[in-house]
Amino acid sequence: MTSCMDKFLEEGPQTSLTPEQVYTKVQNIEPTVLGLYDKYRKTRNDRLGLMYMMGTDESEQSEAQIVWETNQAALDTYSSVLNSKHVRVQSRWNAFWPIIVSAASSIYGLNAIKNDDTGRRDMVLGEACFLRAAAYYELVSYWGGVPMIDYEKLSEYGMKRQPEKLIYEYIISDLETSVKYLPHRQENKIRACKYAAMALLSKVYMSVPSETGLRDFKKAEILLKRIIDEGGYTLVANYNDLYSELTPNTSESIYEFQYNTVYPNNNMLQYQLGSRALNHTGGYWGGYEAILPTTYCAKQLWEPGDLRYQASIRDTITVNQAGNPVNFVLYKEELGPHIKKYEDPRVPTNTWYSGKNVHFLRYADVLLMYAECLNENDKTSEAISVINENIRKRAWGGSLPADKRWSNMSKDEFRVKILDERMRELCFEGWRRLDLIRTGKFVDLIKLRNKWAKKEGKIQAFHMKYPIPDYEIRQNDEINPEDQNPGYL
Amino acid sequence: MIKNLTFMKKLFLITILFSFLEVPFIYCQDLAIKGTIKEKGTGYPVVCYVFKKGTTKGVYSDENGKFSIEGKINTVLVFRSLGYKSQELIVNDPSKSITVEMEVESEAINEVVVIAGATVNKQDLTGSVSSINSKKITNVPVTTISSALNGKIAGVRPNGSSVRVRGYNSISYGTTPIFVIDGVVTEGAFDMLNIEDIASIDVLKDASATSIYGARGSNGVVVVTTKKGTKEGGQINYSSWIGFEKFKNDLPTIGSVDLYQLRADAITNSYIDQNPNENRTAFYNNLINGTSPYFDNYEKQSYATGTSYNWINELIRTGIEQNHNLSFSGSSPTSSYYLSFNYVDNKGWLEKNKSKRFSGRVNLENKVKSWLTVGTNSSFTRSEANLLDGSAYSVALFANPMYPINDTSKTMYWGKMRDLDSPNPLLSKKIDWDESMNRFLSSSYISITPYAGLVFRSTVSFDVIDKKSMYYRPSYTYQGSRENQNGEANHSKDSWLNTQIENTLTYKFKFKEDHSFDLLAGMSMSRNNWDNNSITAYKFISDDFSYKYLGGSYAEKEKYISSDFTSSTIGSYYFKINYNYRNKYFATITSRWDGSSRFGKNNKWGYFPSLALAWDLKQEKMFSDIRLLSSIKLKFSYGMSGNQNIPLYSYTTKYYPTGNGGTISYKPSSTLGSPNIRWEKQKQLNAGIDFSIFDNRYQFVLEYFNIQNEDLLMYKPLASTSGFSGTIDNVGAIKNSGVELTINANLINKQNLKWNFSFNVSSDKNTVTKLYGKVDAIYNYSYQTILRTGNLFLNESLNSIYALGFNKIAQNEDMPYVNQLVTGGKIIKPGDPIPIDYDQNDTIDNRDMRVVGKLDPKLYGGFSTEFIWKNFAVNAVFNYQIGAKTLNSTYEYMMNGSGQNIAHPDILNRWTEQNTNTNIPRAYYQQGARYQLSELDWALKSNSFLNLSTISISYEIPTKYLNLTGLNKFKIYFSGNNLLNLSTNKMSTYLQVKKYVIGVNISL
Repeated sequence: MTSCMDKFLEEGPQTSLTPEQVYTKVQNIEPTVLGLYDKYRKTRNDRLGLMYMMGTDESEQSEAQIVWETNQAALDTYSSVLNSKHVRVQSRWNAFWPIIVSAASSIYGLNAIKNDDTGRRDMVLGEACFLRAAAYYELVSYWGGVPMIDYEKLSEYGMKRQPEKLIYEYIISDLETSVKYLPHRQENKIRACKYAAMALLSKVYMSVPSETGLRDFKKAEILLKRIIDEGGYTLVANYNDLYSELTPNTSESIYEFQYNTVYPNNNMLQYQLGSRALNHTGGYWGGYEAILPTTYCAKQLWEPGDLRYQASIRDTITVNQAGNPVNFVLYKEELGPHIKKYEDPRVPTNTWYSGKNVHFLRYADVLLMYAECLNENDKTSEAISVINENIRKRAWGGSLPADKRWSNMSKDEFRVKILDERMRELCFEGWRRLDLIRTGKFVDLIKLRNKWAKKEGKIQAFHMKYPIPDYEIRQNDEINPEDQNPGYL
Repeated sequence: MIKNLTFMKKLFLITILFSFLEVPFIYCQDLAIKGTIKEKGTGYPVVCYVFKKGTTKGVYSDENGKFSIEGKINTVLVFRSLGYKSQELIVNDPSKSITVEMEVESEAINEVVVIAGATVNKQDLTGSVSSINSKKITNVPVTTISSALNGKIAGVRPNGSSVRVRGYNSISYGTTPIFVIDGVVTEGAFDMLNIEDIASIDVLKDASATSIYGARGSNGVVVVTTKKGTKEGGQINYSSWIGFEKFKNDLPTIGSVDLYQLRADAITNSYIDQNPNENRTAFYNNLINGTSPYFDNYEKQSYATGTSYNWINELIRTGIEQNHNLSFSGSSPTSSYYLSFNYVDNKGWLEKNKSKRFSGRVNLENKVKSWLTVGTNSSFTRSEANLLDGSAYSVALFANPMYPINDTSKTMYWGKMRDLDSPNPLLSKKIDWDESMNRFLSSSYISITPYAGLVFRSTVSFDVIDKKSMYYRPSYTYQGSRENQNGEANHSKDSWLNTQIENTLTYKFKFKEDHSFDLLAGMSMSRNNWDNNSITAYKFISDDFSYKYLGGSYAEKEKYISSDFTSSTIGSYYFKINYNYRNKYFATITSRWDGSSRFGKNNKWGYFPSLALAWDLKQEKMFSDIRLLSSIKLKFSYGMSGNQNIPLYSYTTKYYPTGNGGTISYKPSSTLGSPNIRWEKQKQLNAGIDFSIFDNRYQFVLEYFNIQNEDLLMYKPLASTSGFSGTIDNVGAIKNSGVELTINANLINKQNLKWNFSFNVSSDKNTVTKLYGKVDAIYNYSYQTILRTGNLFLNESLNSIYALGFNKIAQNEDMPYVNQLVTGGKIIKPGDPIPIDYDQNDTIDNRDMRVVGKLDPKLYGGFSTEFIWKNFAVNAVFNYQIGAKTLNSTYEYMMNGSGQNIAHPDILNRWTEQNTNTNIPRAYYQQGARYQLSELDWALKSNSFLNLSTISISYEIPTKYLNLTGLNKFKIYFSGNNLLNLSTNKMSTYLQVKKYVIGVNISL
């Protein structure tokens, strides 16, 4: 009777799987890992995807944002509102952990599976490692030491903050696994290939804090050289084509986030970036100006003839799509320079559906990093030639005028100039904040070029790290207020 | 009379004669047995059906209570009349006129309550149960249970289509009671029941009463029992009413001219804030007269001509509701039947809203053998509804009055701005949205009595609901044209199947005469299945086919299909002992074990015991001598019940397979599975006293309860590093205590004049006594802001209002103070609200938010009165609440000072440089930039009200005229709903729907 009743009371989900079903079979772990790519892509969507771009020397919030979104404003002003209760910091923090936890479960599951289709197991393991590493790379770069999720060592690590070094060691080892198991190219563009892992690993070696003893431009140089030699990537002739909705996944793309104009595959970026003046009257330039280029990025940065300027910045707005003049605005900036890389002509009536692919790792970045490594490894002239012959040549349409060629410069000069070159090449693609942190220019350049940070005058070195969210401290028994990053109380 | 008297004397003589001479003759001879039927206590004549036991044919007594029926010595006569207890009488001497005293079946005291398949005499009841019978349910014209209960039972408040019993006991899951309809536990679609089929509704409130429903009882149990055939000889009832609904819009608003200026003022203020060096007057005048995106030509025209457009009138009409009910019932000594048919047709006061409901019911019971009874209570209901698109009403109500009424623009406008949140309500009217539902609810039983006192009963029930919902948004509407949808159609189907098997064994016996026992043991198993499928398609060749032709979609990609299936089960074992010592001491012990599939392996079972004691003091010498006191009883109970109403399969994390762009992926839910969750537990203490005085004419029920809700099931946020946003867990505790008082009074009880009065008042107070871990508050965030309601704080009510305090409107002289305040970027200029800096740290932030009130009323309840004079009756039902607070968000919206849409006339007294002595903020365009009224307690209002929910006047045709027609009863009535509404919050009284009804009840 009782056993009959017990059976009667057993009911399980009929249209979803349980963790026991998922993490024990490669054929179930694979789609779970594929689902993580989507979660990772979502960290580049919408306003959340623009968060790191706020408060840099490359981009800053519009005045309307500063006035209306008072909490978000602190990401540019670096006022005391940027504290552990900051909601955007929290949502950014939140975005990575589901990826990490699922990737770690998958890694744990895959390591336990011995006699399965090993080829498939290895590739999925490579991908799970890539995703865990990519998520941790952002967390450790922006927050410092965080809890390490490794189910082999669950009891040892617990949920407390681990030293940055440990996290970086995991990132490096994960990416090495990815390099080992991932194929040269993936048929399905949402999946990462070997070179994506190599490019990311190079970035890690270049940016890991030197105190850890892990920073290594030599290793990075070797890895980057391998990509250049074996990868088969080429720069696209026309820089503009990188941002055309018609030519996604170019020969230059190592990994890009795949989007389109149909929900849920749209990225809403133009909706966040376009001009407020065009919001109600339509046009694919319309949006909410979450960020705008800083004056530096919109003006001083550029040299005449650099074709990248036209592709990156919409300098003025005078008419709407119907051709009628736009002249009455609350904020003058509505008609000023805007970010152009995410405009999507396919959705003229509602930019919320904008959905061009978003670059993550591309060959130009590999070349820029390679040049930087060469310079760091005392091969400055080689570095200069990599920039001239590839990056700048393309920027001037294939033939670089003599006066635009870089020539003879010191290692330090190169360091300064490469930072600007990176901005010209990669602006609004999400790397600036990291570049400022790893080169130690964070406070100086932001204070100089970001008008809100300048006006408020509060930015300090501790702002390189975001605060651990109060929400985490409240819910996590092993992170207490005294574990907070310095400077945030 | 005199003639009668002489006749009686003659009869008397003849009888005596016969009795001496011809005794055997009397034994076999049918004689006319005559007599008079009176009401016990008052002596009023009673119209009553009289029949010989074992037959069905009988006679009615006349209006003087007199009857004559043929019979012999030892004939058993049965007397039945509605509202009275049935009586049986053995005729010892047919020649003697008999007088029968019928005892009034008093509503509050002598009823029978059906609990878990077994009937309990209300007199023997130890727990807290409030009942209303069919007469009280249908003496006002209503079509749903929740409206029938409105204001009638202490501690019960309407809550959407359901009710709320004894305040707040659960946080987020299963906060409404379960409804047990003829033994079938249901948790939804209560509107599908024909109210006229209901014989009684019993609301079980304390743990002793609810614990037999165990597991699911912690938010109360509403037991609904449908009618049975009772009247021998059969009865036909027909009732019908038609009601007219009128929407009344008294919302005070400003007209186009004022609104135009308000908007210009708002834009100017915002502009001058940004550009302080510009000339204010010039900018303002330029806005008023020049071209800008903020005013369009149509608005300039409305401004020039002073025309205001009232959009809501385009959606309003007189609603007409009809209800027709026909029932047949009857009984014989071995069987009873009740058949009914019901039709409800409601043409709503909002255009497009229309519904119909057909239902039929068969309730049968038959004694097959002396030891075997079978029966069924089965009903079928179909409802069909056409609905108005959800946005239309509020868009029309708050529409920009300067915008001319048209059905060409897809959205509403203010200035040249398309308001993308406000589709044109006239076009929304063209959206087809239809729903239909079929429900078959059947419970059939077999009852076996192997020997006296022992009953085995087995019940099998089915509750089948099939629901279909379809809509079509035409290509010319905004809703149907976003992103070139070019029409959007959806079909969605839901099926619920609830099967339930219940077996009970009851045994009644007496031990040494003084000790009576009533034992019940039972088990039940129930399974709930649900499945759903839904199809959405876009891009239609033509709008002509509405949602009917999905094949007309030419979209290649944009089609969405989904389906889902779930099952859940509950299994239970229970027993109950009712003990009664000489009708003086009563005790009830119940125990129930419930197993639920919603919990993980180790925690499926919960145990819910209860104990209740009652003491009938009237049986004690001390009280029996007090003549004034007709009855007095003390009750006490303590017990446990539970709640399990969490989302299914919460014990596991779920991975959902999805396909997107050719990639198949499994995505975990953001809710982490919690294998160890347990039943939510409720411990309830109830103590009460029931007493009545003056021959039961004044009845009082006073009860106190104290409820400890523990292991409350709620969604608990998790640290992000867990990888999940939260989990469902047993979190926290709530204490809820209160008092309920019910008074029923028979103020006047004369033959031609009766006046009854019922009153109830309840007060309950809930407090969160525990959350979890380090957490002392759980905030309800929407994006970056903490909402004012839905937050949980230790030691506060569940329904706390949490807001920034309103300090004052900033004046020029406040600016030195304001300028040193850190507001996180919020603008405060003269004319803007300044919040209170409670912690006096010169920073306004979340730490300055306070609990400023609660939505819970201090007291609530209802009262009703019935006044009967001859054949006229007047009936009124009121409900009220005292001491609650409300946020008044409509007023806040109308006072936001943006001048975009509708605004309240109070805005004319807004702060300006000339009008500084006011509490109304200045006009302002950028709502989020300053402290909004909707963040403050500025508009917080007390929310006490008194509502005359129904008043009716009826006339019943006197029996003497009815007899000519063969009818038994003919009643005609008029009634009105919501005719009077007094409230401390005037805004709540401005939008009302009043209903006027005329109806008839006929029986024969």
